[in-house]
Amino acid sequence: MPLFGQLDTAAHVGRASTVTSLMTDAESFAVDNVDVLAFTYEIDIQRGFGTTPKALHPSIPSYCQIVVRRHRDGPFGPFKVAELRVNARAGTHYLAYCIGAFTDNDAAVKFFRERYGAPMRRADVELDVRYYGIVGSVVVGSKVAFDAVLEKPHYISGSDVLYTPNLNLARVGNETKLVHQEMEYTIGKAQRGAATLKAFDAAAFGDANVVLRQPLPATFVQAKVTYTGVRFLIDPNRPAMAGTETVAA
Amino acid sequence: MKFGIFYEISVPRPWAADTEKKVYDNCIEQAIHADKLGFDYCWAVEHHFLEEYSHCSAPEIFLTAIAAQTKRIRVGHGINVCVPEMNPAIRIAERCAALDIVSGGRLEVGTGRSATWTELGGFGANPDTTKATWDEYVRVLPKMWTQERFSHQGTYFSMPERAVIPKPFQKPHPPMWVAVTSPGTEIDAAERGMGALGLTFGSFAEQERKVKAYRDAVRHCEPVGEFVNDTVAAVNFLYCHENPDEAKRTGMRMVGTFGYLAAQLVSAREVYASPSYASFGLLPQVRRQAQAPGAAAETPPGMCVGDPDTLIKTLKEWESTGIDCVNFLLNAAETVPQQAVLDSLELFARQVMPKFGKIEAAA
Repeated sequence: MPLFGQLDTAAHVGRASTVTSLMTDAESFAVDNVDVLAFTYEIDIQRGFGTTPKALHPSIPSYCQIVVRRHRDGPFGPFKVAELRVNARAGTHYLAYCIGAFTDNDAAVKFFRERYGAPMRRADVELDVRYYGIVGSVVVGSKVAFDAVLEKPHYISGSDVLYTPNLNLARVGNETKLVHQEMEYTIGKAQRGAATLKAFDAAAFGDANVVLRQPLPATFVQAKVTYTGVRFLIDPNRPAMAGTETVAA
Repeated sequence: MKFGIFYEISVPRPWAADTEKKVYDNCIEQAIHADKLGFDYCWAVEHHFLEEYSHCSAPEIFLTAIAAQTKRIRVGHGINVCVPEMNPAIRIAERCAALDIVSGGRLEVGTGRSATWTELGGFGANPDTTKATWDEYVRVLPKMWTQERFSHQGTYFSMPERAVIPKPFQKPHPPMWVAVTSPGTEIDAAERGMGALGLTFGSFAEQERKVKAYRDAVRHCEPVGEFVNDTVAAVNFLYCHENPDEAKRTGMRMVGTFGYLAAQLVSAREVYASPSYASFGLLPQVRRQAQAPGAAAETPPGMCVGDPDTLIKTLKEWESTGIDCVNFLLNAAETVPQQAVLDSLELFARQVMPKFGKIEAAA
């Protein structure tokens, strides 16, 4: 049996979101022309085990993604989101445990916390296409939590880029659950380039044990992003194969 | 139709001091048994760093042990990873030639390029260029084996004139194969006059389409070697038991475990956006694609898990797709007890193989 994560979720419940009602497919919405910038890094494996709930298997090798999305419009007006995700497996399913997330829109903070249980907080999130590359950054208060550049971008096929759903630790009713949050991507333009990291504060996202090691190519796409209904919940402390309950979307 | 066995050598946790030794010993015992029963091939993969899923990073050593203890079964080095950071081309040529000599000319040479970031990243290899390095390798290997001295000025490796020795026992050289996981690789194999070593599961219809495409293309091939190997092999699981319920229960536990372990690895496609990798590789179709992680597993069609009559029917259907050979995985993470694996092989040889024109060998 593959190794399981070792995160003690009880220590994190205090700052977890509370879901008021789970997002349903009937309420799903799409946003066109979303810019999506994703940086991928292998992480320190042993410390990475401590970032992943016991329901999940860390991937082999462990890796994380910092994903920045710029929505030019949406149900709450323009908003940008940045997420730190540690990729893992729920049984055989490819998912990512969301360590922390930021948005620059108060209504989006409320929406993602209450409908998806996302660990969403307010911060300044930027995604800028510059002449030398594509920049993603997060500033929490006056402190830079993340700053990186996709350099030397070149076009690739959108079909070569994959995204996996998020799992958010949240209170659902009287229980603590991992809430499935899926975004469907219809990708138009896609580019790939080298990642140059200027700043990363894992603790600011929520877990200092995410220690970046080897960078992988960064990607930048323009896509239609559809926020869909929650399909399942997972008990964070039981293997996902046994502790998953489906949700009527 | 021919039948082979196929080893990933998966080693379950917890890893005690002798766990890997026991698994290796079991695999070798199975191969010796398969040789006596009349199986045609024994293949072993080359994988690196794939915890539990495959501890077969030096298949030439494993296959040498099997060759030394068997008489008839052909040993398949499948596949040699044709990526410079993992294997210099010269070393592949040398190792294969030596194994062909030791086995008395029973070597089959598989080639491929790895499908996981776990492996490619571990060696610092560039996923964008693996198809090109593979292509360069398969064109020079036969020359290294057949020319007294060889030199090469290529894109991904070069060497001054040297005698690459030893030379293979088989003349002009052993049959060459390509691992087929990504869509279209069967055409790459056919165009080069190489056998198609199928490593993914698909439907009967999908297999038939692939075989037809392969046969159409191989007729007009420009072989990279001295001769054309136009054999198409598919991979499957094998658990044969008189009791169909027991066969399904034990066999599907093996299939599920295999898919479960494969899913933990990081495929190249997952993290490295590149046109070079269009599929996940590693038998992805076995993985569960249900709505949620806890959903019930289904028995994939065409799986060789069942009683002898069921397997005869299933294999006849596979045979009708035009394939020449089926290679079987016999276990995954030791979920099937060793004696049950040996009994399964024996029952298959006694009751299924004769229906495919094979005479049962003396056990």
